[in-house]
Amino acid sequence: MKALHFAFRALWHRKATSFFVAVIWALGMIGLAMTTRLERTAEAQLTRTLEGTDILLAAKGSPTQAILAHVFHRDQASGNIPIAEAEKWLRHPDLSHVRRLAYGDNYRGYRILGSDSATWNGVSQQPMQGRWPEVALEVVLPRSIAEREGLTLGDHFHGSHGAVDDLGDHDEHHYTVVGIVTPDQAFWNEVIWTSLESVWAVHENSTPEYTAVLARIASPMTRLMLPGQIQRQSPLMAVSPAMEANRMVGWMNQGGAILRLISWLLTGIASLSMFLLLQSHIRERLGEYALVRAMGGTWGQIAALVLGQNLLLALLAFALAYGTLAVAYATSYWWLPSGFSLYSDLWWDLQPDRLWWVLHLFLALFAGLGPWVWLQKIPLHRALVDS
Amino acid sequence: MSWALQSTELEISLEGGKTLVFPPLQLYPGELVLLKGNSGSGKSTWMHALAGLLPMRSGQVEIVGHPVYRAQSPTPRGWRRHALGLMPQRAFFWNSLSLHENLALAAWAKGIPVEPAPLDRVGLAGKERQSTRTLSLGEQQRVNVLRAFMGNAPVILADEPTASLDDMHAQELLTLLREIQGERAMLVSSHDARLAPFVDRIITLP
Repeated sequence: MKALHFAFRALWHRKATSFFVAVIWALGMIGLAMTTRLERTAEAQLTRTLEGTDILLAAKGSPTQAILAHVFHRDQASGNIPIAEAEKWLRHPDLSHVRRLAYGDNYRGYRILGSDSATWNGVSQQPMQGRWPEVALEVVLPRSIAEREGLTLGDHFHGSHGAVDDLGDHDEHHYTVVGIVTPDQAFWNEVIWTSLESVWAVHENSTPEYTAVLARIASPMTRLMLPGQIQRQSPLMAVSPAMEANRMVGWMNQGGAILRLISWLLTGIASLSMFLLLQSHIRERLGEYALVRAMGGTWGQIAALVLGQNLLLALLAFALAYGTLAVAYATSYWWLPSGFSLYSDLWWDLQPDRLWWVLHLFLALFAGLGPWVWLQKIPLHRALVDS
Repeated sequence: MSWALQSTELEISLEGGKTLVFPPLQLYPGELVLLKGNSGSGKSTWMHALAGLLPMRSGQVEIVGHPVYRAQSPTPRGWRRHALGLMPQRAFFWNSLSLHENLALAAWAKGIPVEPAPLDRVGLAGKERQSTRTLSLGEQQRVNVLRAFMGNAPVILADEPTASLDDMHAQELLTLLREIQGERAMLVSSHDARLAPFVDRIITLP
């Protein structure tokens, strides 16, 4: 403990540079931990969201856009699909857990999603207040929208055309709030549920259509073959979400690799800075270290003084990184664009990042080894006479 | 009277191939010996050789109650901790530490418990928390003395202790050394003529 005290005082003597090195070090740690955590969480949440969805039927367009629009409800739909054409394919015996979607309009920018009970049953939720829609123009709100807009059970509102709020109102059709839920997947928090019939009733002058259909395919062979068959034989686009998800994960991993590279670069710079900082400190204080030896101090004690400084710097960097990450993880719900959340169990649970902590600690000690070995090679007599 | 330190003729090889040979030496308890010589005569080198700080080609040094330090062999374990008190020409204080912490560092290096330093005895009472860099040269040398005397080493080696001090401070320091010397044997290297009246014996290096 005494060695750490002396090491701390030596660091404190050059606190500005020490703090700067710790900040660079912390940035490297944050980058590595955050990239890994984001990748893992994104992949896990993507897989979890796509569970039970082996095929997606939508209007022809971009498959990625279709996934974002109809699974994550984050993008615009590329169009609608005829009910008859969709139902023809939905009769396939291997298809189950079919969920039909029809995009309605919006309420103050929140998408009104027409869907069937199969969709609602798939929404993992906490006990709901009220009930799911039974007739047209009844809606269920996520608690977040209800609170933001001050809506409660029994309230009425009317929607606006399209998916944005400035295309004119449907004043003649009033929705009634019959339920409020707290979904556990973030993207559901931005959607207002209603029945398919509601959407068709509001657009009574148009032919009823679906916007998309999601389904599970029991047979692996059908899972492989059916999308291609639909693509070839119908005007619909059939997307295999698993394949699209793989592609999206691939993009994310590419971005992650760049971030990781930058983080490693920062870590490398921090290690080098730590090494140079210690080396120049020892050069300046060669006589002081030599005298500790001359008074009888062992190489172990010198190591404690030298490596102790790097250990303390690493701990400072760890504290900075830990604090930043804890705040980042706890607030990830708000700042992650796609509604992913890194907030899982306990906010201080940084166990998944322990590999980076250990690695950085090792690097910090390693950066101190060079100066320590160099110090051992300096003859004490010369150090005391020449310093 | 039995000696406190006894050394045979010591042969030292320096960088560049230069060889120095120092004569046999005996120091006795309570004795203050001045090692006199011009700059570059090898006073510091001899002191460092006696302290085991640079390798010897031949010879041996023995301090009462401690293992013999022989040429071509490593310094005996713990030798410098317990057998010697070293007072280098420059105090080499850690500027990041206070006076008290510098003494604590020395105690830690020597492996002895930190005891309250008799700062009042050296005129530094109340300056424990002060950084050593704020002390005057005279004050720094007094702390240097306290540090060298920590523990119960029977031999003290002081290298040019008065080199940067004016007459008054030099006299104060020498008086202090004499006061606290007790039964310790002291070898003081210097080219300073002011030391002569304070010492028991003078060895002159050519």
